[in-house]
Amino acid sequence: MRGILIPLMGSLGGMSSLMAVWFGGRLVAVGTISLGDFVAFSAYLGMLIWPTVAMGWVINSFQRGRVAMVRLQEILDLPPETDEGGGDMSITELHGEIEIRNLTVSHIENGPPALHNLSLRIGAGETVALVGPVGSGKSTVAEILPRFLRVPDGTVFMDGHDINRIPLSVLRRHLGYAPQEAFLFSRSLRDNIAFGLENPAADEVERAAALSGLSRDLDGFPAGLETLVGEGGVTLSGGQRQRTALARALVRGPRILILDDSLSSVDSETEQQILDGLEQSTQRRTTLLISHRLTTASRADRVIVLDAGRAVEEGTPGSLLAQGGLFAEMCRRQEVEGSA
Amino acid sequence: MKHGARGVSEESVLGKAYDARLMRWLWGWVRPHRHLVGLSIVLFVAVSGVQLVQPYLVMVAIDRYMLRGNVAGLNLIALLFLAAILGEFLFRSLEIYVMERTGQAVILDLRRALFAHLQRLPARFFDRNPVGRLVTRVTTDVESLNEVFASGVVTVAGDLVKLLGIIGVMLWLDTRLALVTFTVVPVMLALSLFFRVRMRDAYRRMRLCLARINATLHEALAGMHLVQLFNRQDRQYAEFEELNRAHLAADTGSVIYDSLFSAVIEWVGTLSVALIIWYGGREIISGAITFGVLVAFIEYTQRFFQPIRELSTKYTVMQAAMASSERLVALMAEQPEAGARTDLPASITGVTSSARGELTFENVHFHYQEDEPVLNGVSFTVEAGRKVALVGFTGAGKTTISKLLVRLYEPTAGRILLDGVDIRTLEPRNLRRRMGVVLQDSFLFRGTIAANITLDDPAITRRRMEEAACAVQADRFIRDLSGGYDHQVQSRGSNLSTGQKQLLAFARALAFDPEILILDEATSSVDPVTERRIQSALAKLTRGRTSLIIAHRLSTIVSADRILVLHQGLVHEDGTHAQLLARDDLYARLYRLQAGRESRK
Repeated sequence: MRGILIPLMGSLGGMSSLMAVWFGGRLVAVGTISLGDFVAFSAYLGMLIWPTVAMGWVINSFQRGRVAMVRLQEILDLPPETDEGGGDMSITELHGEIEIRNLTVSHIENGPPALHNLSLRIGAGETVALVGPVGSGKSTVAEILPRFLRVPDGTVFMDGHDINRIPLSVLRRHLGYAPQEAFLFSRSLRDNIAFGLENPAADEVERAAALSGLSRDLDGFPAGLETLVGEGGVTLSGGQRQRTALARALVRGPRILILDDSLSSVDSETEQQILDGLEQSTQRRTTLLISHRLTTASRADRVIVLDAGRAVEEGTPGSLLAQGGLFAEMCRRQEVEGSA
Repeated sequence: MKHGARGVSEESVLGKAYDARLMRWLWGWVRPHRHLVGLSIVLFVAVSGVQLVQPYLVMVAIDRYMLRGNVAGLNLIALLFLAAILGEFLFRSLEIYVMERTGQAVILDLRRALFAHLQRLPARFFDRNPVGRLVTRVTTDVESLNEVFASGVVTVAGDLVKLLGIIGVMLWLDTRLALVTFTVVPVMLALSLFFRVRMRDAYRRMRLCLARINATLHEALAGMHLVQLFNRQDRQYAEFEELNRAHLAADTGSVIYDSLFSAVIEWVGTLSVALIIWYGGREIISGAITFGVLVAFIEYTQRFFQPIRELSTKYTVMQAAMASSERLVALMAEQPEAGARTDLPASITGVTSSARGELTFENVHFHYQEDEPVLNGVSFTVEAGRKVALVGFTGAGKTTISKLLVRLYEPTAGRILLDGVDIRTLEPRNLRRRMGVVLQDSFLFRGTIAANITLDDPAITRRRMEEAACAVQADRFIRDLSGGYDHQVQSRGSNLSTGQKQLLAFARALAFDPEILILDEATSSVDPVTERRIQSALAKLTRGRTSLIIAHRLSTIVSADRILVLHQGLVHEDGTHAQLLARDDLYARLYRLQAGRESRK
């Protein structure tokens, strides 16, 4: 197309000159117009060519612009995630009590349910471990609490408030969420840890780093907490990333802490040390532990075993072991190493 | 100019528009197609010729025919003019076609070479370079070289030919008038230089801003759930807004210079026309030149300024191309994976093993990063046909050992011997044929189940494939799938369960029947039925085969002939389950860890 269009534009100009010479020249020769008329006419004709050709380009770019506009409109028209007028602005504080009542939810509309008629209660300040095979719905529970996955009204409650009534910003302010895939931004470690703080104080960040077992690693970095992460900075190991993400969740002093397999790349001994530290810290919080390591799960006040989206066992780790069900079976099979 | 298509992490700062070293490199790729380049140069000269003849024809028409009332002669001129236009159209079409063809041919070669080169690069390279950046190299950077052919270097050369032609014709028509007209050229050159530097800087600032916007946007979108979770939307928006404003400022600067430059060039062009009328008009009155010459001069000057006006666009195209070339040169300079080394003694004297599949680690040291040693002198031997379990904490170096074995990496010190032969002296291809590797997260490709087992190796017959699947008891679930062995596996096997993927990986390993099996046992829990199936498949797979298993499951570890406990980059303990328990050291502690925790609760 280019190969024809550009020469065509050139030839169009040539054609007009040809007409001027052939026809205009005749008029000059017979004396109808003067040579000056001819020269002026040719010049005007030359000026006319470009805008004519440009019109084609303009129409073309208009069409492309319209396609782009439609695509932009599609994004702009998407309804934003808001409180949809259902937010109860009187709720400003949460204490960390969670209740799920007969919840059935799926990731895709009309898709297979990820959770099946699930009911559970977690008291404020309690530490509960969620265990179960891959795909049993553990992470789905973790996604529901920050409302990444919407649930029907009347199924999930915090401090007795329907989760859909709690303003999003309030809900999320009280949550500390450390996912397994620890995504970090290309800024300093300090900025990454202080990601959720409005006015980070230096000692807050350092305390969170210490609590996440990051202090020792910091000594090995060129600029300590100011070390840049990612491209142009240090490359963190999987365990370091996870601990940074944990510090990021902890620094906000959350009422509810969700550890979604968030220390899987940290060796067991370090993990146990971190969990010991968390237990001893004075901050009262509800902790939801999702882990493949059953040694970790066994630290919880209570264990809930999920299987195919249903809670199949529930109780203290000791009672579940004694009961000899799925949890006991999993423990028996659990690796020596303890690093699932 | 395609700004939007740049890569995310692009170091989009532009430098030189011409670099002799890079041009030589580029010429290396163009050389095989030099006949095409030659053809396009010939065509360009032809185009310039038929273009330059047009004002001359107008001159002849005025002087010989219009002013003398010769209508018949005008017809002849019109015919010649038509021929020139048709010639221009034809040559120009051909020229553009040939030029694009050349570009595409070079791009094709370059992409092929890049991909082949990437396939030969060692694992270390891919640790350092994110996939996204490599994709940009093979797509965007190569594409920007194409621009050079479409509107860059060849056109610039052609434009120069045209400019010289115009100067020559004008001097030939009337030397004095030509010299008067050329007095504007120094003015124009000075203005061009003045603007070029500023336009380049403004453009560079704009590119930099755009690269920053891209990078920030990429990160903000990738981490959107975190932005929302931590209520950071406002601050994130403010950051984006700041970059956006900086881009607007840079863009405005660029546009101001662009418009000023083209207006100034236009003005200089008009100035030269005024000069022609002023001086040429006097020469007509004095009879030194004809009317036709004057008209032709005006036409020629207009054609003279056209390429100059476009020069700035071409300049940036060249800059982008040079930057891309620079990155491609760097990529091509990456050392490919080492082949069979001949500088090392092939086997240790005295130890000539006739056994098939005896593995020895001799004081092996290794680190990924200079100051973080992973292995600190690991030595052990696995006798042919034995099954050895590797255990240890995460980060003890278990997976590294499997990577060293298949030579994804080379030891930084020490040797690994296979039947007494240093594996570095073997072709990686031959070495890997003797080893079967089953990874923790078995990678499945989009394709049929059968293709995933055989990896399309024609040496593996359908029967052998099915036997392998039967042996590891994968056939049961495969037959339940729609299409059986021809069931389509989705990308990364997302439609199969973890256990099913494991069994498929076992079937794959068995079908290839390797001397040595390296298995990184999956850690994710599967249901008890699948678990039992996997265990029995594993027993089948390891029977009579040298096996090195990075074990996580008790049952696997206990059934091994020997257990190696790795700790802090060293073999800490070595023995059977019973021996190690009796030693009551790290292994015993690891083994009891679970029980201890449980009783504490």
